[in-house]
Amino acid sequence: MSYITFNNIEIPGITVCVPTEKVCNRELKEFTKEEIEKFIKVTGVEYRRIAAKEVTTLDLGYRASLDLIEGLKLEKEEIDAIIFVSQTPDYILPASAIILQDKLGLPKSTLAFDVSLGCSGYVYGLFIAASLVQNGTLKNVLLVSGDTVSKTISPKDKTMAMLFGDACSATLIRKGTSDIYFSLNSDGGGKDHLIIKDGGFRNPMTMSSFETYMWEDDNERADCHLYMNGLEIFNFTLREVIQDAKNLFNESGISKDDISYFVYHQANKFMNSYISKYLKLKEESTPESLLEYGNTSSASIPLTICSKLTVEELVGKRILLSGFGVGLSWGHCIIDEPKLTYLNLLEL
Amino acid sequence: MKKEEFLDNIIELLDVDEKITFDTLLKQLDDYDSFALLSIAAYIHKELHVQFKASQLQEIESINQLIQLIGNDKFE
Repeated sequence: MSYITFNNIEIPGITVCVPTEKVCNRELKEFTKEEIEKFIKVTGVEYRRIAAKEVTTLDLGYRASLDLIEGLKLEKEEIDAIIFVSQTPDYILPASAIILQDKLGLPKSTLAFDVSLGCSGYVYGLFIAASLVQNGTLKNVLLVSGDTVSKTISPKDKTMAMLFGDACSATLIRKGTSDIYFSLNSDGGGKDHLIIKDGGFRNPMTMSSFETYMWEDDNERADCHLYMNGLEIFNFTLREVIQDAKNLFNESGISKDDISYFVYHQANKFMNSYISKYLKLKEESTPESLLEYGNTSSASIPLTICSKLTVEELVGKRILLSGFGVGLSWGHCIIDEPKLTYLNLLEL
Repeated sequence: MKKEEFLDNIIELLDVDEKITFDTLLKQLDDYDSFALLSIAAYIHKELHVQFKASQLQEIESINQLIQLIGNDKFE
């Protein structure tokens, strides 16, 4: 595990953009009523926002970025870097961050690159942004983080089709007066537990990639679809994520009692409730957006902040963010005080 | 923990109508699915501090087998 502390950072604003189309899990025809009710009871997901065919993660991120720039009254020339964290980019190449630089009309001097991470991606993105700012050369870094995971899922997969929603966030990181403590980790030994097998250069897409078949877990999907071994991911969370939070408390010297909000990646209610119970966290300190938005990958932390907390509620508050998932990859950060002045949630 | 208490707790977790004993074939229960396995994994982690691979838990046929996997030393 890697522990890193940054001083003099602030996060003045976050905007999240979700698709307009709201899907109600109870209205899905692919599953029986019993299957749906059981799923909702375990995962807590009743509604999700699903991107239209022509809307991509980049489109959602573009809208979120525009709103954030306007909300923080920034000049476009003031943004020095874009980090685009996603596993659903517009193209295999070029990188979405570079396309976004042009769409936003940012100067060509902008540093722009993509990071291929999922549910841990927001915490990693903050770490990279803080690293760039800490150096002192770059003043404002735009972190764009999100996914349109719904586009990768078999509609007949009862473990996945009702779980994931689409969203993308934009967050500004700049020089300030707060400290941020990070713990970041990886375990590629678990790569097969959450994977899209075909479509990269290991297994290029062929006609058979689209042929659905019944998998061992009794779900019908193709090799171009996202697969998750839920039990292994849960095991990983028990084994690594809970301990990592405890380790960061020890390393930073900050007690969990000194943290006002614990914003966890919104994996599913069962998992998040277990983490909360195990760490003995109060319900009012663990906001959740699962019911309305489902699991939104690397947008779930900022989406939970923007939909469940206000600027006023976060004034002077220390918060913990926790991201974990595909890779396997996981990380925590404790932000002494984000110094947020702008939060917004919009639709596209 | 006594084995009988463990059995009662697993029965409560599974929340099924059928009568369950140490030897009941779990996979024949209507509601024994991936969510049931998740509940069992969480319970044995919290109460007995043990963890197993998904494949090990998926192979479990009965609560007796689960007890053997966990190890008799964890029980009175």
